[in-house]
Amino acid sequence: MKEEQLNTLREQDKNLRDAIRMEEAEMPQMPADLNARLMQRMSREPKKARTRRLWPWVAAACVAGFMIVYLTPPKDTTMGTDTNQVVAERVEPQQTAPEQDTQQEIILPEAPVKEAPKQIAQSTPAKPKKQPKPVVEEPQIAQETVPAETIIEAEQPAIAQTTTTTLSERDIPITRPENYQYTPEEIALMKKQANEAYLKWVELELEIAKYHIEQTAQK
Amino acid sequence: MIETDIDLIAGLRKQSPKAQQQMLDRYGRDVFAQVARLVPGIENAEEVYQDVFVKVFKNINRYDEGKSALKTWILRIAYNEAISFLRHQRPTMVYIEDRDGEADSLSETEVEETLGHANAETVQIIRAALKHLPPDERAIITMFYYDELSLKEIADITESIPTTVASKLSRTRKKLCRIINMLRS
Repeated sequence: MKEEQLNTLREQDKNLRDAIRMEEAEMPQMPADLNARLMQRMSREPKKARTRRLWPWVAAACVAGFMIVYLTPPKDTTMGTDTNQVVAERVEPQQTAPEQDTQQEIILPEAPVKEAPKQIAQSTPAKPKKQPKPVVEEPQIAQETVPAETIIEAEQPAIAQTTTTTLSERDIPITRPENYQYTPEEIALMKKQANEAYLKWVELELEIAKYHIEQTAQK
Repeated sequence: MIETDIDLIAGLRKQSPKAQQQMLDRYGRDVFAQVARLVPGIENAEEVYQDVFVKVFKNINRYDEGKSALKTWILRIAYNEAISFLRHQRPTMVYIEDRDGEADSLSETEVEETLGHANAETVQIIRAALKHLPPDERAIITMFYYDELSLKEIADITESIPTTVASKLSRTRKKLCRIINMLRS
């Protein structure tokens, strides 16, 4: 039915209009103090509205915080290389000094025996202050210098004590990136251990099954 | 939209108590009438009325001036709030539903004769028949005949479309006629 037709009907339906008008007239009247009560209620509302506005932001901030914590990569991977680089710079000049010494020591047999003690004597007084620091690569130097003459051997502890190195994170095998992955030997060993464990488990299961069979047979 | 409505909306968006009071004075009676004709009992009507305006004040930022008039927007909230209240209440009245479509079999002339020709007795029967209409149908017929709203305005309030409102009105007229016949017999 079109709107024009309905508008015409609205004019025609006198009985219906009168009935509705009477019904509306008998409807309960709006209490005079209703608006005042509503305004009182409204004056109490803003606090709730404030908390409602704030909590989604607080929740979002918490979620963002957790995401930052869990999604950012750990600093160890980058720091490890950085510190290694720094430490390498420090160590290199210290390590070169003993190498020169050892080279000198190896060359020494070709040179006259008398000159050797002088060279060592020249190098040794320069580094007595660093002696208290721990020496890590001492054994290697010592091994290299083993073939040297007995005079030099007598002086070796002094040379070894002069070489000082600073430990870095890279010196610890577990922190080296190349050690993060298992070697083929390690993988083979793990497989072997897993197979053994599986066989043992099967044996144990068989024993349990046998025990149950015996128990049921006895019953 | 009248200019005072624009000022009123601006004040409401600032949560101004003066603007809120002004809105209650301007539209309070219309809203209460809308709620009271849907919700039985004055206490319930008062409760729904307060909820309507609390909602209006809180959601005034969602009001779009381009879509509908402020009054229509408020009446839509009132209608929805009242219908929502009725859904959560236990049914206290039994309304007549025309499930078998018997009212559609009535001819237009018969309906016009019943609802049109001025007759005091018929008016009283129509008043009795109106009480047997479901609240949403009664609200639509009152908005059309008493508030003299257009189909579009009624559609905006009931969140429907004008053609649906037109067919609902037509069906409700026939249904009223059928109830009147039942009451007479």
